[in-house]
Amino acid sequence: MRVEISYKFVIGFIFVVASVVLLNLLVPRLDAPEWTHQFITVIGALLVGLIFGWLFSRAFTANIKILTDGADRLSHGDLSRKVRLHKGLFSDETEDLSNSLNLVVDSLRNLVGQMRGSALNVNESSMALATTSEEMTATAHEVAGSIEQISRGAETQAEMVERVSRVVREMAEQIELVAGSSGKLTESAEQTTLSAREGEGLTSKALDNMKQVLSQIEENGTMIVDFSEQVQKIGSIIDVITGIAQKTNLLALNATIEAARAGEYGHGFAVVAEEVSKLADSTSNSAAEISRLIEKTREQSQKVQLSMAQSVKSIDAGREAVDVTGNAFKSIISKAEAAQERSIDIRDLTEKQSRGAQAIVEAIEEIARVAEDNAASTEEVSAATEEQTASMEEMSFASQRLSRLAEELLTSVRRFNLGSDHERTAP
Amino acid sequence: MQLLPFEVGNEIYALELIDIQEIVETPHLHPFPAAPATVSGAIAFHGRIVPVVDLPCLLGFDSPQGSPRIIVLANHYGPFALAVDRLRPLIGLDKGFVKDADAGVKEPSVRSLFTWKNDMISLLDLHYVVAAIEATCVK
Repeated sequence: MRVEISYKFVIGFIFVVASVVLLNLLVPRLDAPEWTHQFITVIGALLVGLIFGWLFSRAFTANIKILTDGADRLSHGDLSRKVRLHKGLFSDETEDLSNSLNLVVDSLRNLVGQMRGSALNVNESSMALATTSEEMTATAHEVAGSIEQISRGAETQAEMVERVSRVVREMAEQIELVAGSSGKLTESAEQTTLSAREGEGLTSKALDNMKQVLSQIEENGTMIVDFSEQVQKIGSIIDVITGIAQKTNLLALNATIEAARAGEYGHGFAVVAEEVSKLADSTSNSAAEISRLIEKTREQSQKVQLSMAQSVKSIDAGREAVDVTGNAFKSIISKAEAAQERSIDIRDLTEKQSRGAQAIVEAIEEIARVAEDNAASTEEVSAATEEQTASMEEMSFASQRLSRLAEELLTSVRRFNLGSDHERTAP
Repeated sequence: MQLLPFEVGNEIYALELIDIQEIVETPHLHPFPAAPATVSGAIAFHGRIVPVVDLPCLLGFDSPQGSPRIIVLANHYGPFALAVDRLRPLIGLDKGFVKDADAGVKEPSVRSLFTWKNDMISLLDLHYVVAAIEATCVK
């Protein structure tokens, strides 16, 4: 039965008043002097009041001590026990207070348990975070190195692209030069074709002239052969004349012999024979002179024939040479025409090539710009990565600090004694 | 006296025109069977057969040309003929010009020697020739 403390004081007062009234009624009945009556009543009432007051105060004091002890334990972090009041007949506000205190203990116990679990979690997480951030720092260092390499590579690339651009520009100029040269080559090939055609015409004319010369030389050769034959005939006639002269000489000799044998009578005959002999000698000498001349003429005509044969051979060789030259000119013409076509092709191709090279130059200039942008970007990325690395290191320090803080928190929370149940169930 | 000089080998000989019948060009020469080397053969001469003496062979010279001229000797030596290498123009001189060869000439075929226009000419001894022919033919 719940009775509030104020009511308990009212009830005690009522009991004291009732005891005063009762004693006033009972005391006259005692065999005691009258003057003692008043005195006994007061003492009786005081006794009753003291008894009630002691009883009440003892119960209050005990409950308040229990509450004070509970609060003291709470202040020392002992949450293992609840506040338990002695069971009385009449509960009062102290029980409410103990219930409230127990609720506080429960709440605190839950709170500390959760805080402990959370602190452990935070500790582990921060440890993991520290490890991760250290790894990330290492990775960020690697990334920074890689990005630095990329940056250097991008610079090198920019330089190389610049060089390539120069080279390609020079190449484009050279291609333009080649285009000009191929145009000149085309003109030269045209001129070569024209010259070769003129040469071919000249060689055919030369060939005709040589044929005419050859036919004339052949005619001359036959004429000289005829002449030689005539001279040969003269020679045979001279042989006859020589023979006649010799025979005449012999006849004159025999006549002289006859005259000598005739003695004085043959003297005139001997003179005639001598004259005949002289004439025959003269004839013989002239015939011999003619024979010598004929021999010389024959030798010379043989020489002329030989030299004409050689001329014919030379002219034949010349004709062959002129034929070869004509063929050579024909092949030169065909080759020069082919060269002309090819040089025209080359000219067209080099013009195309020149345009292509111009496009390449533009593309490479674009590439150079991109490469320079890339270099600048990689430098920026490098700076950002360094900042990131610094941040990661700071984060690592912060997570380590957080871990220490979590450990400190855990140490603080460990001061709270949660009892066996909560120690067991705590994460 | 008139002389006909002629060449035999590398020597020049001569005969008197009195001793000569006629000069003929080398006609067809008919060889004798089993004749000595000094007799080349025989020729037909105005209907007669006249033997021909190879004079170079007889005088001990080589005659590779076959001695194209033939001198037919006069009848008191003949009839026979001498084959010689080459004839020379006639020469006429006094009899006293020709020295007697017995003094300086030991060659039996030479009757006498004389010089004519820087040439040494031997006058052939026809008696020796006839004797030599007869001697070879008797053998």
